[in-house]
Amino acid sequence: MSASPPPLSRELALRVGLAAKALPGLGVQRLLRILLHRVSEPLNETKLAQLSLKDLRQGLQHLNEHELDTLEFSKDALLRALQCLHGETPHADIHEDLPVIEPPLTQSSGFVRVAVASNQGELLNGHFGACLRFLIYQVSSQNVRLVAIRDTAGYEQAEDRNAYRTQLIQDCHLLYVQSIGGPAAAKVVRAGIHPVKVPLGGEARAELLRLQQVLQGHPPPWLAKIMGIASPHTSPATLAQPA
Amino acid sequence: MALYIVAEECISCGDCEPVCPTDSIKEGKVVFEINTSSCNECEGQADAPQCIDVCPVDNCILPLAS
Repeated sequence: MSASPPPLSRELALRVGLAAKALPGLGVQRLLRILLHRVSEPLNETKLAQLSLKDLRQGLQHLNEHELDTLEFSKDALLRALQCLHGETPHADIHEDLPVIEPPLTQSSGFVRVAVASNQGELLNGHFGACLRFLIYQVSSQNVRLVAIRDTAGYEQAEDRNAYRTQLIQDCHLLYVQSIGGPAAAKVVRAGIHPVKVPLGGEARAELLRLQQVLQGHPPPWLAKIMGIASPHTSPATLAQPA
Repeated sequence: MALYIVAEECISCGDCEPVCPTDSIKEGKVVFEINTSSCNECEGQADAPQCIDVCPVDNCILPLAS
């Protein structure tokens, strides 16, 4: 862009910022490009109020045609963004339903630490490179505790987004995501974190319950090692025997 | 002259199985296993053992001490 657009009013800038936050991975700049594709400059409150879901969808489609990576958002996310643009969301609401943090387990072993990529509540619904936050859980055979919430804000400044995010969760053993790219997955594995993709997403605790059932039964040796419990299959000699 | 898979490290991803030129890797009861009588550490087939190349975990596949 050669001519710089006229500065937005504080209120408009706030609306656009909040809307961009409702669409993880998009960013303010690209959202502005979508908006300006649908309405003429300068932006004002009347124009924003007339925006429809269809406008956002078409703007996004237009953007995707000109970008290498394809962004897709759920209808819910688009509607939330639209509400922000319309100025309907009370500003405090964006920090909605952040789940409550529980006290950590007192034992020093016998659990695994799990990071869950999330955009809302206690849902496993995030893409590794774009989610708003990581929910950190301790999962033992008896308990599931949400012990921390790590916001991913600040990654825009980081040189390597995926490295920054990997470092955010480097004390975790497992990572649950709805989706993750190949190079990012390689970085996560390099950091000694085992990524688990759940393409359908859903309640984080429902997925962790399944993990818990594995821990209660016969966990695979590498998980048993993380938990600090003896595995019945430790001798390489017995496994190296020809079958 | 053969490799083995360290059971505590193997995450059962299965990446090694298809790359083995001698078809020596099979999923065992717990983790993947290498048939020590057919594994030749890719001697004559590749510069380095193919399974170690693709394995995402460090020190998971090691030479069997003779």
